[in-house]
Amino acid sequence: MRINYWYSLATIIQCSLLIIPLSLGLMKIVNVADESIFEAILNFDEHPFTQDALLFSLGIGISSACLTLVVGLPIAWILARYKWPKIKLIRAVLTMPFVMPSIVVAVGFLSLIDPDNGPLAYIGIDLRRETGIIGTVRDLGIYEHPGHLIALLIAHIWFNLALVIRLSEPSLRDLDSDRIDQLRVLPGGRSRIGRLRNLWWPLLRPAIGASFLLTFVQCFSSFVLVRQLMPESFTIERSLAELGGAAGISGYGAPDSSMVLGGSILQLSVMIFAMLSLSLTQSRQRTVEPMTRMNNHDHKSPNSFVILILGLFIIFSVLPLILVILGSFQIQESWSLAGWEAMEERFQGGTSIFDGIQTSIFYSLIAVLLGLPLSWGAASTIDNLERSGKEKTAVVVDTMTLLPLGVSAAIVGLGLLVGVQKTIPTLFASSWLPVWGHLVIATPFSIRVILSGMRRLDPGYMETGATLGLKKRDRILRIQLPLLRGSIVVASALIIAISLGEFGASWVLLRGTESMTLPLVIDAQMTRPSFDPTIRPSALAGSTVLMIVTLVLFLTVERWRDEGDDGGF
Amino acid sequence: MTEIQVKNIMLKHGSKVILECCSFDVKSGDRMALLGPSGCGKTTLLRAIAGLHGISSGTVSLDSDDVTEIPAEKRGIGLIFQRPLLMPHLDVWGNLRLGQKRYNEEEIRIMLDLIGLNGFGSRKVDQLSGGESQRIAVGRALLAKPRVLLLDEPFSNLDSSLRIRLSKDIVQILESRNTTAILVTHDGDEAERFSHISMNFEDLEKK
Repeated sequence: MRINYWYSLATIIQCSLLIIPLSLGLMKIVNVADESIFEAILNFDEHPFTQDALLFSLGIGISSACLTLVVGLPIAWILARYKWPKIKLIRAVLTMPFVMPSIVVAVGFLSLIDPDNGPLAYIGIDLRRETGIIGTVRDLGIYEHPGHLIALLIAHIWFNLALVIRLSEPSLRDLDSDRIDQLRVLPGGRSRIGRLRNLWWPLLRPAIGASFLLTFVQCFSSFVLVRQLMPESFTIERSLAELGGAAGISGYGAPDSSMVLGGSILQLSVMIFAMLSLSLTQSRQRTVEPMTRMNNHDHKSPNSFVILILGLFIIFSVLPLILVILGSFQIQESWSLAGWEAMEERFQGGTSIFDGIQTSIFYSLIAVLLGLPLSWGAASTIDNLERSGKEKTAVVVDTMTLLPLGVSAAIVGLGLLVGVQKTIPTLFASSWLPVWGHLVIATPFSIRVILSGMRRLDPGYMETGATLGLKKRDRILRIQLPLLRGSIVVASALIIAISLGEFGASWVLLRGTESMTLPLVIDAQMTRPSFDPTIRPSALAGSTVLMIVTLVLFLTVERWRDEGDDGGF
Repeated sequence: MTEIQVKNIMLKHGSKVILECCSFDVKSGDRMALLGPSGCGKTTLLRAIAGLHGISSGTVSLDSDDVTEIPAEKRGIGLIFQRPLLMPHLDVWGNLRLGQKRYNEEEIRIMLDLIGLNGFGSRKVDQLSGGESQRIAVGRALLAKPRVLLLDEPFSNLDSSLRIRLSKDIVQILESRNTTAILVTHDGDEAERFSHISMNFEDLEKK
């Protein structure tokens, strides 16, 4: 009973982490803003930072999601329907970009499109300065900066390709071959179009829907990629982050507060709509699963063309990351370790990469120390409710713990900045607030991982413990915890990785302070105008460190993740 | 030696009655077999007696002490499941140790001897056969010194020759310890080999 009490308390704390700052922040902004909520939404477009932000966010979200599907589905098909040696490794390489921190992706693409040394410049494509063929496209006047837009779209595709592969490949791979053969001899499946209509489309529709919506959510709320690759454009997320500092202060910046109010409501509405659609789509996915995992004996060896396509995509997946590593050893035209040596340098009095690493490690360790017990408690509460037949209550609690997934990082940061820091400035030192933000963003994932492990754990083990006379505490310590060791390792790795790479919330709370995290320091060094030739290689060296740590954590997750465990995402 | 009395037990799931008014008692040191077809509620009844399933009405008593409200871990009733459910993160020794309140090395050695698995202490559980695993499950349950032992078709996953051998061995062990036991099974021969008394689930007293 007492243990269940602690579990309930952990669940309440986890849910409050988002709800309290968000509601306090909203109340504060409503009080300070010079407009009503309705007016704030209608007038959201009237600031240089917010002009066309809604249209741009929707446009970039929808087009990125469509293009990612166009590129990702054939790759998923190639992976699923052919026999490949080392398939696990290939899959890991192709899905690795998704776990990379967004700042590393941004830095990788900046290296890819670098007009002086980037590989695209060598083949005459200048997406940065928009000269040559891209310049010709710009002169057509269809879009102001077509090069920047192309770079952003490619970066979004690169980043989200893993989603399409992870979600679509299992259905394609495990489709029962007998089912295809059965359809071939029926009128509805004699033609390719018939099979497409009656088999492949119904089979893939849920995966396509889920991939589209998840990619849309990612790109709609894109911040650091837009900031670095398309600096002249603003998504709502970026507008909120840029304007957030002035919001919620009485007697100051009332128009900014109105913009933040309108933008937040718009952003939340779109994100919640997308997440509800996703939930509906994923519930449909379950009805498709019985079609799969029986006989799949028709997988054939790939021909040269298919090998070439997959090879190109593997290169596409690793190239930006390799460029980051190479760039960290390059000063202008020559190879050097100066970038790595400059990691301790505080350029123009700012924070050094080394300081950033220390801060990030500190925050991620605190996040995992606090996040793991919270996640365990919340997952246990949901699991206990499910096992005791209270399914409806379990769904409600489950949904509450997932709420942060429908809220962008910048809104989490704004909630903490306006709702907590500006409301109770003496109670919360600013340097601690990012941990709060990291917990909000990371715990929904860690809860899913632990809960998934708990659901798969045979209840007989704990019952055996009970009939052997073990108290609940002993059953948890001696049976449940060791059996869920894999889930705990994966959850810890996820919290650390998410905390290390988190950008949006930290940027709102910490930019310009001495406690900047590593992604923020990299961002600052990449955007700071400077004649010092080591500043960029130093940022790339920091990105390399972040990339390698993330990679190690990703491999840890893959190593410990059980077969068939998707961790809920 | 403990006598167990089950009186007027009724189990409900929501408003649906899943087990109705079962009453019986087993004298101390006796072994009873409860026969019935699959899905008739035998396992549910055992789980209720063990305290793993709440009951809507009725009582479970051990030597006239009402234990109905006592949680499973304090009830003193052991349960061997259909599958051995050995902890995969522990070796054989660790699994047997789980049955002890205080660590007693000698006791584990004697138990390993008793279940015929001397020298198996350091084996991993995935290196054991089905019969060996079930023996460990029995040993583990006995090390907890239960006042009554419940066995939920523990031989059903074994082949027929092993089933006969193992059930005889377990009967010997229970006899040597004079442990009161209830076995549920759908196999009449097994019930005969195991028990002093056999009862059909449908014939349990219904009031």
